Amino acid sequence: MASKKVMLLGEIGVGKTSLVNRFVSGRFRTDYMPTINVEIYTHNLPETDIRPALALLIWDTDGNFGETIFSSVYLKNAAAALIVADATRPATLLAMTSLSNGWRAAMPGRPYRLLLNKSDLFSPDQPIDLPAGHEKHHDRPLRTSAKSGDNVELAFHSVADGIIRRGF
Amino acid sequence: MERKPTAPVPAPAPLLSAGLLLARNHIYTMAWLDRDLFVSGRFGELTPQLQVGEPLSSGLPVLADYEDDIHALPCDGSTSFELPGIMLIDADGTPAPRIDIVIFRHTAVVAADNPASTNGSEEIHSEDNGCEFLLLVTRPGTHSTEVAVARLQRDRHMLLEDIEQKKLELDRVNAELEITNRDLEDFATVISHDLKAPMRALRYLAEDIEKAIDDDEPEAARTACEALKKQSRRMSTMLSELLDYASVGRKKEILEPCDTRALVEGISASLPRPAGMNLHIGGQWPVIETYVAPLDLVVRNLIDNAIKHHDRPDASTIGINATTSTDTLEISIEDDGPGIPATLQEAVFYPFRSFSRQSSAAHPENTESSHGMGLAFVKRTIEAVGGRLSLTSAPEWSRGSTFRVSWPLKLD
Repeated sequence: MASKKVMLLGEIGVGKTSLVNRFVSGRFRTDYMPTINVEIYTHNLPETDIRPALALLIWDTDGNFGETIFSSVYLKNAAAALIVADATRPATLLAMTSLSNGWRAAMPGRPYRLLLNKSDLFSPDQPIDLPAGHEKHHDRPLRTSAKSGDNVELAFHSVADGIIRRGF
Repeated sequence: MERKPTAPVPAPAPLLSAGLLLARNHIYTMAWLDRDLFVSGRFGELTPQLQVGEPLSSGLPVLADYEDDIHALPCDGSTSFELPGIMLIDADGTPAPRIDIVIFRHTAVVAADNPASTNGSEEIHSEDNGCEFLLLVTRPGTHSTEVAVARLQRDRHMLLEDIEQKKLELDRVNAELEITNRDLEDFATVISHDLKAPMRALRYLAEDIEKAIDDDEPEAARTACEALKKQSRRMSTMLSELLDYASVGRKKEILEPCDTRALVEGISASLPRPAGMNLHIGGQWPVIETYVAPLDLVVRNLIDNAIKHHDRPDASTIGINATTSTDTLEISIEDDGPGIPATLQEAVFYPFRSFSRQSSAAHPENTESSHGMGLAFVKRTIEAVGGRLSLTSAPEWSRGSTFRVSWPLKLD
């Protein structure tokens, strides 16, 4: 089974580790354990109609990296990224936009997906303001909640599909 | 795929005994890799998944994406590939110890005559006396300290973010206060200047009545009384309008769907105008969610203003156009009237100011029907929803004025 490296990027405390824990183990941890440097999860995805079985190596990164992640050894050969913001913290939305710009510059053509995590704190039709100009350059973010599990599977599966579709 | 291990190379005894102690306590793993990055020997228990005869990427899949970098290492024994501070989490979410990975490439120089023994799990092999890779996996620092520091960093980061957010909020409140102060100044100006004239008129009329009574001229007294009542009504209307003006933006409006074309067509049809005056509605008028009453007030006043103040109403055109940008509905109302001199273009938006076509100054309005509040209302209403109003007119060059409204499409 081929393995593909997926980066989890985003500001401190946006819920990257909670998302990967929810995806890999189906659990939501209430105790906060900050990620130090990089923590690497492995999760096997079964074959689907549009892609073969894949082993995802999910590199959960320390939010302290900021944009220095793009010049670090950890990013090498990453096939895709999930870039996460906390929907309740405007500063993390700005960081998400900066990181997605950084990703496009550092890894041109490689798929990424933007996630607005903690969206369980909003009603489904309640708008979440994105930084000015965000939508000119990036797709609309996917609303996720590691707590409720909403859209978490979809987020990881969609980047896996993107990796195969783009031949990475 | 499995390869047969090459012949073991014994390590020096003192080093080996110390090394064994650390290795058995899971402090490190050392492994030797051949030119194809297969494990040819291993020492230490920190990464038991590294198996002799197996590819490096089987034992440490995270290194699969770095094989090009490892192959590119020069055989100098000093240049290294490093992947520091990673933690591998197994399928059930259990973390392995955090590790640093360092790989060198060098020529094997371990003494072959050292009789120090190896045991079952600590096998050391060399390859063809040529270059080989040496992998060192170690445990860095004290994890609990790192976690504590990371927690503090996270808390500090969130606090700074919170302070920044509070600062933005403070700036917003300060900006609102500034507007409120400006409003108060406007009010003070209006009350001290514009209401002085009718107050003075009231005083003069009272004196006229007094004199008429003294002179026993009841007809003159009655006339002065009528004039006094008229001035009094006018003052009352001005005060009401002033209160309305002050309350713009304070009333909680409700977002409603609005067909802007239907709105502007309805307004145009409802405003009386001379037969020779042509109203042309053009451009793209979308259906939007907005505050309908304030938008109606803005468009109605601007069209009404263009109609009322035209100097050639029987042969004139007023163009009303709209376009939509990403964030705003752009509305323009363009007339072919006499224009507004640059010196008056700011003053026409003040309360109780009206521009007379025969005058070169904006002055307090004195007519019965208008009190010069239309454009003041328009400007204040637009600003209350976060929009913009601009005026373009250059009568010294050409006729006409254009009022442009940027009406936000996203309103809270």
